Amino acid sequence: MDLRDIGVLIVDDEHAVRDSLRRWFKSYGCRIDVAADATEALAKFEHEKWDIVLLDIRMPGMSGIELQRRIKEIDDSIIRIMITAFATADTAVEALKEGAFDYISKPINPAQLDHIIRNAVEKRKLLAETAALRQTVEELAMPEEIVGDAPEFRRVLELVAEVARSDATVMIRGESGAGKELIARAIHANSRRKYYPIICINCGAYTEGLLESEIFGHEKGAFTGAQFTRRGKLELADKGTLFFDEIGNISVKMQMDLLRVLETKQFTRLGGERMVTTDFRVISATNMDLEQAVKEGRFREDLYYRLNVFRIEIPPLRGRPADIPKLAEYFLAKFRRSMSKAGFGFTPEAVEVLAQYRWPGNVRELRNVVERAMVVAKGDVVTAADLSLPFSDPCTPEVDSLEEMEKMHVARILHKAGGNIARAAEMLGIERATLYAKIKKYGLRN
Amino acid sequence: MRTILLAAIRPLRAVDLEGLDEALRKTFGAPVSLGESPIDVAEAYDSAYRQYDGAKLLTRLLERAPRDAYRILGVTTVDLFAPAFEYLFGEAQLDGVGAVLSTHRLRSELYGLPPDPDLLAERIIKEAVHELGLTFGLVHCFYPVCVMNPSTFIEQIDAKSRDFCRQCDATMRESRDRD
Repeated sequence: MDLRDIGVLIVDDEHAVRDSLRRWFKSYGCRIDVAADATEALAKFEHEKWDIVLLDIRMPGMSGIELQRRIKEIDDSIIRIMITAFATADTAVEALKEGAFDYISKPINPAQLDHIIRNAVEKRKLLAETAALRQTVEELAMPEEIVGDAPEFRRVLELVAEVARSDATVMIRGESGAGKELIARAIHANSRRKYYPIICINCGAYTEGLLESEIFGHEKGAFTGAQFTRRGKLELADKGTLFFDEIGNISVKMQMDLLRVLETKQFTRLGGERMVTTDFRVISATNMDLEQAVKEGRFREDLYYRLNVFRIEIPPLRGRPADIPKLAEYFLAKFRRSMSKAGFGFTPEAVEVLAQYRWPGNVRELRNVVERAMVVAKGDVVTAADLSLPFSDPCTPEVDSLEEMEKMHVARILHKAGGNIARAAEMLGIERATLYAKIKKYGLRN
Repeated sequence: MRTILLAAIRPLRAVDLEGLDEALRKTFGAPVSLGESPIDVAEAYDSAYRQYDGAKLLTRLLERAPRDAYRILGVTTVDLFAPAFEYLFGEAQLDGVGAVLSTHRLRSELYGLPPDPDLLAERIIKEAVHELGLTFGLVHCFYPVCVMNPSTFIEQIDAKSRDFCRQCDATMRESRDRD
């Protein structure tokens, strides 16, 4: 414990008392100031922050009790300790009811004051730690892997901010690996439920029986192997968020049970009789055509409408190509740290290959490709060859016309040649003059 | 030569503080001169409290100290107080020159126990080092066995050692070298 960072303000109308308390706290290394009355004391708050205030209860003008109330309005976390020469039970109770931390009578017993101050500092430290933890939670509002400036992705983030404020049920649609769980976490982290857990269930990862037990929990003996009572995800998500990934994979029976829980917020564990009440917000996700599944009777329409109150569509990675280099750089930096490979970078060709690839596996695939490339790369740079993307010519552009294809190819070779016209012409197998003409035709900058 | 003046305040005599001078010399690495202060404690007496004002006593001690005093510690047997406090074990100028120490509340008899001269001597040494430590700019330390741990009740004094912890020792040396 160190009191050197602590600011203490002493408010007492007696000079001798102010002086001796000032000397006492100075010997603890505190930052100290004094005030003779409430007006002077309140002025001290204009330019400085105080951690502890010792206030005499009886002063001319505004009393210590009233001053204590005013200080509480300024900052409720300031520790207020009342001092009085007239020790009565009434004044003590009144002060404590108003939120004073403690109460001490004059003449002060030094051991008692030392004890109170140590407790006060400990409390202040705990309050500061709690505030810092809350701040950390606030800062985690956007999971760091959510990277993107493309307009299509910014729109998704705007929707996240909008829906997070409410408790509305959200359905997230997007291809596999596009970031549906990340978006679910972002919604949770920006909601009023952020201090409670987000519980994720991958509905595609369990058999029907196991999924039922995962979601509802079970009582001891509910089935063979149920040796202990187990709380399910519905209970674990109480006051928080429940995220159903791959919601389209659940059976019709499970859909019915889930609908009932969503409507009543009550359920029993498997093998149990006691009704359990739980309060959670539901977010679900799927890459399936759920509307088609509803039409075909594979997914209940009433459950669909219950889950689909607010819809967020995440664009595939190829739908926001401007974000690909940013994401690649993000993963590179992340793996630099975890693999202790400082100074790693991409060659310009590698960046181009990344930008032009279709990414059927989306962000997850990009992450895996970057990680693998860093492992196999020789030296401290990832080349196009290190990326080992599935197509033989990963630079095949997504264009229809021959002219567009030629333009992109010439641009790529110019880049590869570092702007050297002679070298680029040699690589393309054409004359320099021909290359100059193509540069002019396509408006390419050298 | 930077000498610490150790002044016995009447009715205490210099001979009563023999042993303390040697302990202070070892701790602070400075010669200690043992003498008697001419101040009259009655000047610091407060009839309302029926105790002696520690700050007033310290002021009197400093008024009569040599101008070039390096450090001065007055030791008295009277019970000290400060206007806000029931009692004090001592009073010191933080990062200053002077300090005053009372042996009154260090006596075991005050707590209903039989007199213990060795324990009293040990307590006096600890509190003398503590008060002089404050004059070297040290502040209260929360390491329980450091001599700079606050002295607010007798058991707290007995629990600590007569030595500085590593951090306080470094601070004290730095302050001493700066003087």
